[in-house]
Amino acid sequence: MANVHSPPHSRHRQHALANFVLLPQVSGNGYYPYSSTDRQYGTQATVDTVVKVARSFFSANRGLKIGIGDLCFQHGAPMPPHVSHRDGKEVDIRPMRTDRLSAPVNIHDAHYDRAATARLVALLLAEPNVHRILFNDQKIAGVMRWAGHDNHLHVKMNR
Amino acid sequence: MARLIIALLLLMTVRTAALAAENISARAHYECIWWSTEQMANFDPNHPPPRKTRVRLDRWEYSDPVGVPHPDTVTLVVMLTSSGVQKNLDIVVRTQWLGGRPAKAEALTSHIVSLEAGVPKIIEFQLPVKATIDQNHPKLLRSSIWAGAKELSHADLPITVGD
Repeated sequence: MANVHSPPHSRHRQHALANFVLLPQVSGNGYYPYSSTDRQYGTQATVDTVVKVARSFFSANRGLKIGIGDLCFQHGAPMPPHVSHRDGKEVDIRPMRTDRLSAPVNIHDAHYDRAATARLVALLLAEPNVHRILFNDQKIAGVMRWAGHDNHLHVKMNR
Repeated sequence: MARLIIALLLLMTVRTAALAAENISARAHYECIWWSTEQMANFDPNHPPPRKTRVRLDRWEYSDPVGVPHPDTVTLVVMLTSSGVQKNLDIVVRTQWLGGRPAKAEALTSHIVSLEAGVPKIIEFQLPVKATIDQNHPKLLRSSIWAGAKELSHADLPITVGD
């Protein structure tokens, strides 16, 4: 008789069978990767949304690039020390800097550019695929405060 | 008779260690080797430069792969001072993980040190942390510094894993 219950490892198998799409690693897309290539896979919709937002932002902000960090491994394997980042629908993005450097920044730094970050958040939130943004600058509308998010926007997509 | 002598010797040894520990104080903090601020600009994540900069580590945090330190191994830096001369002290560090899934406490290899009166001495312990953080998601690493049966001090390292 067949076992009708899902095996305890079914969720892992589901992730293991995933085959996500690589965020294009070529320059000129309006973003720079700050995670290694193997950590930049996502669902097609997630990758498309990131590319679209980056291009729009780049065009509207005189060539300002956004930093894209961890998405997911190609097959959804665990990505320690992340707890999530396994379903291809999450992406970490750096806040913007006033000096336009491709470098880390947090909301307490002198080089943090709130205005540009707010424009980026607004662009993201205008995308139907964007479900939620975790980020700790409470002066920016539409983000949710969450521990450990002074230096990146954790963007959760719908698909 | 022999047993009595052995017992007395043991008692004297323990008493001596206890008296020695009473005169010692310790301060401890964490450090690691990480990328410098200059190295972080225009960083190539696929070909990262070697980490060469020693930084004080007030917390272990994975919220940016480059911008905040989250080393595989941390260095516990212990500064010992004594009001009197101390010979061949056995300094032991015990680590304890708090929060997250249970992880066993560890007694680390000890350092044997001698101290001059009023002259600080710095010793270091290398603590591998990556495996436990990845597997158990603890909230805090506590390292306790012991001399004999006395805890001299402890140092806490808050931990934030990525979401």
